[in-house]
Amino acid sequence: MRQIAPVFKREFLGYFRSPVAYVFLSGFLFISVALAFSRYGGFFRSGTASMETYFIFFPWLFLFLVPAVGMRLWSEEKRSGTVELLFTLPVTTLEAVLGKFLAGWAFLALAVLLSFPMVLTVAYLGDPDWGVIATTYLGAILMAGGYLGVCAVMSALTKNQVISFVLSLGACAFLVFLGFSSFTDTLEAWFPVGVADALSNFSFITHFDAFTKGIIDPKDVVFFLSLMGFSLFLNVVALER
Amino acid sequence: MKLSAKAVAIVLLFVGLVLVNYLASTLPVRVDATADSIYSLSPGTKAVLGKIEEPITIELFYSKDATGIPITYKNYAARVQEMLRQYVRASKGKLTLSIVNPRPDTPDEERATAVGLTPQVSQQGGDQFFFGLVVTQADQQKTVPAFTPAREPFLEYDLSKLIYSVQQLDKPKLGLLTSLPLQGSSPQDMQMMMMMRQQPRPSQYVIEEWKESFEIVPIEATANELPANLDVLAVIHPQNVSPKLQYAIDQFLLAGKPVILAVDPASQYFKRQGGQQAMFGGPQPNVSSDLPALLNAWGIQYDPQKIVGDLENATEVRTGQATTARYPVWLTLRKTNFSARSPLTAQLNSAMFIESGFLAPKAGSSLTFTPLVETSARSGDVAAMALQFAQPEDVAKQITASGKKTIAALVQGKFTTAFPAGVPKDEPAATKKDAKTDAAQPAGLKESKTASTLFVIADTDWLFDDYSVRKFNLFGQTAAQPFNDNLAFGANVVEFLGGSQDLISIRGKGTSIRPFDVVREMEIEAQKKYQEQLTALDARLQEVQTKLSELQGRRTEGNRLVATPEMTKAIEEFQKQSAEMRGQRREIRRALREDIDALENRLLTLNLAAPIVLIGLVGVWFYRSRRR
Repeated sequence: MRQIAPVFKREFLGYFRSPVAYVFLSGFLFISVALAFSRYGGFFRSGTASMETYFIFFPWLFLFLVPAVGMRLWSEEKRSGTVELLFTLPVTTLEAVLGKFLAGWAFLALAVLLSFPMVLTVAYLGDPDWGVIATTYLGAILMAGGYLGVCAVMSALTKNQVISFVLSLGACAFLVFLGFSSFTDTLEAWFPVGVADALSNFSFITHFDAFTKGIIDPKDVVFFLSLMGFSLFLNVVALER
Repeated sequence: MKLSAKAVAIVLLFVGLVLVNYLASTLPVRVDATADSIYSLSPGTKAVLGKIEEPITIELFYSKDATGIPITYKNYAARVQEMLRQYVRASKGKLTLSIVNPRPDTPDEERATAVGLTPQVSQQGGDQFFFGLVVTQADQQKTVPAFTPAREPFLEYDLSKLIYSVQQLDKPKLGLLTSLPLQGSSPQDMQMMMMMRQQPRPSQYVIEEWKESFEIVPIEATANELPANLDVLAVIHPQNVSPKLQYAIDQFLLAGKPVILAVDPASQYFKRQGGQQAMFGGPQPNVSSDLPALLNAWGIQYDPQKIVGDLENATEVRTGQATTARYPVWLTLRKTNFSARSPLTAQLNSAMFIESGFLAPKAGSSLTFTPLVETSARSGDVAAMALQFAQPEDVAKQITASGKKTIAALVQGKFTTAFPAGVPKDEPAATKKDAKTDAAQPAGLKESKTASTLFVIADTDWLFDDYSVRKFNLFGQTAAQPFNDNLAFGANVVEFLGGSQDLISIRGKGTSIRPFDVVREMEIEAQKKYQEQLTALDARLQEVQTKLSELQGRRTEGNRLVATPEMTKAIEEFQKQSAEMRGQRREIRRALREDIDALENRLLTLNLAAPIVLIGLVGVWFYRSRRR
């Protein structure tokens, strides 16, 4: 496990070597602020010192941001052939998978944390509930990890970054839509209600919701962590084919 | 690893994933990080649970196998179950919870129907499902017929109230001091009416609602003190209340007991009485009510001469045989006019108030004044006198919009007495000697010892059946159907104030408002800066419009054009002035928001630019360090 740190460092710094990362970060933060202030977000009009109207769009923004970050995790290495080079080094597949995943997750966490000017704005305008803000950030970072786990598997399945992006988008969208009644109604038509309920319990939105209210429920934390663990296992399996 | 082994491992791990998630969902712990611990049991609930003497059974009916239950309901069902488990844990064995899944055509379903639960069906279709609760203690039983996620902020209150009420064998006492015939004819009146061959008057429906959960104790305005052991006091349209009784009301509130106060600048009941008396040449009754000394001391501004008019929420009234007009002093208010944060008003959809007054907190008052019912921003005031002869069509012209007005509010905190000198004397000219003897009497409360709650409303007509229910004859019996939520509002008010003190503490939970203080300050500043200009302009505009309508009215006298060229010129001139002034008013109104809009733009720009600049700087630093 000692090789995780070098892989992490190489990968994390790798993001900043390409201008694309800067564009991603700027784009994500620009759009998230613009949405919060827009008519749909109604941040200023709500007159309430809370970050709710800001974070409400995060599951949707992650749907595009995380596949964009995750698509290059393995596809790029596979396409350029560096994946073989990587495994000639004294690094196990698990170490490589973990190192790369943690680097991507740290990059996404950075994107989430860079929204701190919004926190300062809320604090300037009123007296926010700091506990709720803290749990929302924790939830957003955990959710980003969940999304990234899924994207990493998709990236390991293909050489093509575009295909990886589209597959990731589809898989993540499925996990978002599981939280909507119209979708679960269809599931109920195919499966017994208990099974449909168990499936809809895998939705990102349902598990993120409690964090935005200021609740840390073990079931939500376990959901994101177990999803990450499972997808990392699949990632290893996909690479060791 | 072989492919088959991998497949088995994946399947096993997936099963493990589902299992771990299932186990996590059954864990009875969660961290509530909110500042007010909104999602944890409050001390009020714990106190209610601590006072349970006989065991209580809670049965939650939830049809978890039904198809088509919306996700929001499913999540809410999990939340209700989690909450109930918290109750059971905190009750130290006094509560028993059983979760029933009433499948179709089973004894469980029959029982759900028998105890009065309401089946629900999703709008998208699907099976009928039950999601309700029954609380039983000995032979007492109470239900939540159907849970809805919209009431989530009040879940703890609803559950605690049910547990509290199922243990109540004696009804609490509600003192009713009123000059209005809300209680119907008294037995003495009835005898007299029968002799005069008149129909006795029945109680208003709101009284019937109150009787459901309270014992009503009537109080005469001439009394000198309040009956003992009252739990709540309702003072409705107080007229000629003796000073000693006013003192008793004051002390009742200061002792921490809740008071409902309804005053009215124009009671329709007395207006109608006045009309009848005028026919027989009798004196005009006083239609308004006020308790100036008490309201003043309790930090509330109210003017019994002024009526609120709302151009947006005017009620359509019949003015002639086939003509109708929007009457802006008869208010039909909607959901947006009620506070969504108070359990008192959160569920109301519409209510009617007739020639209501308006309330405001007095400057410098340290009490918390929470508006519950507000008019729209297009509201203004009209002198009560001016309404006596005005036609409905003309009333709107008298109203100049001056912002939202509060009709009902909750005032909470530590009140100070309206009688700092103690019990008022019977003789108005008290000598020094009297004062000395009074000093020997036990001193009354000068300030609330604990926080007190006052519900105050500037209308009394809303309590009458005429404005809340439609009555019809059903097989010889009079039946009634509410056409708005006035009755529900009336019931909420006494329920809210009359329950246990423990419950009041729960009611306030989850309703803490975190407003933009900076913006509110700016609004107040702007209001101060421009209000004078706006008022002056509105007065001038009113003047010009009156002259204009006078001239226009004269011009078409008797359907003949009688305007002289001078008059036409004057009309044109006034029209021009009027248009100009409207423009100026728009400008001032825009200026009121200007600073706030500018702040919004500044914050938006800062928030858009700051992260990008930061990211840019990181990039520059990264490239430089790499080159080195």
